[in-house]
Amino acid sequence: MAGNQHMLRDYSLPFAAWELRLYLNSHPNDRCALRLYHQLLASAPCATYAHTDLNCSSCCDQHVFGALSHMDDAACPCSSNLSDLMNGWDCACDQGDCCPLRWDWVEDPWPWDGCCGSCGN
Amino acid sequence: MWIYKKQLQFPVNIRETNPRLAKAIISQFGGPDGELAASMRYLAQRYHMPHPEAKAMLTDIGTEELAHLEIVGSVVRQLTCRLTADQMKAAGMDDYFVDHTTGVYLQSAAGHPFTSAYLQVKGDPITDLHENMAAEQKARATYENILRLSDSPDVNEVMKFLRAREIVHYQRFGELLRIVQDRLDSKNFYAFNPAFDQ
Ligand SMILES: [Fe+2]
Repeated sequence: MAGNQHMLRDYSLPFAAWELRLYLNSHPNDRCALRLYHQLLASAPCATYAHTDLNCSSCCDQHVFGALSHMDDAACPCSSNLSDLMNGWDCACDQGDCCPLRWDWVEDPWPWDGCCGSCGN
Repeated sequence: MWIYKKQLQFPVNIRETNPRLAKAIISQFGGPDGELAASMRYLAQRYHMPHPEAKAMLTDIGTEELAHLEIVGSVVRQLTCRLTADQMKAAGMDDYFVDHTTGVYLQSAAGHPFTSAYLQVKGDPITDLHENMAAEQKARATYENILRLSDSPDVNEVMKFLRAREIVHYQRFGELLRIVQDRLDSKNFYAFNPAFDQ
């Protein structure tokens, strides 16, 4: 594999997705960013794990380069299995569904909240 | 909890050893403005943050700083592997060698061991987010000083990546500070601690 493609697969795409995560934490209602994030997520892990025997079929092909150059209005594909593989976080939208309205990673509760959060109120 | 990915966030491939440079860079491993202090500061500050955006950001940036810690450790390792005791001594690293051989210890460039006195968890989100913005600036300045000391292109690529991350983190913490201040109770004229004074 050429050096550029290796960098794109192993470093650039996961990095771009990560950068969007941080942005979404302070802009959770930015749907354009959310959609691009899910496009990257759908492509990067397939490419990242292509050398394993894990089954990642159609989702990667059309999005690896497309996600970086343009965003269309098509529903973003999003496989929770693949996003789990990439970073260990749950995918925010169901398979075949469109992107959600909001970046729900920021929603309460968080694991440490317990009854310091809203329970019992 | 955390899941480990067997890959650096940015590749490290350093072709030449340089123990003197390693001794400077180790400050970003366990020094006052280093990556361990950054990670622990943010992960510890999560508990009292009142807004979910802040909990998310501190979790994610605190996690990324751990990835940076691993990068810095890899740089120090690659700059010192295969060295003899004589080479360490010639580079002025015999004081480090006697305690740590070629292991990578959490210390500053001047040899001070890591301490949580490098960071603060004040329990006031406004105070803590200001601290975090300052911490990102201090880390940026440290990477710039390392770049001034280094003439290794392989090292500089990595330092430039890490420096750029400090700038992005600073921006994100600034946005969090705005979110927290925008949501202050309208009667809290003097911005008293919104995590304690309800
Ligand atoms: Fe940082």
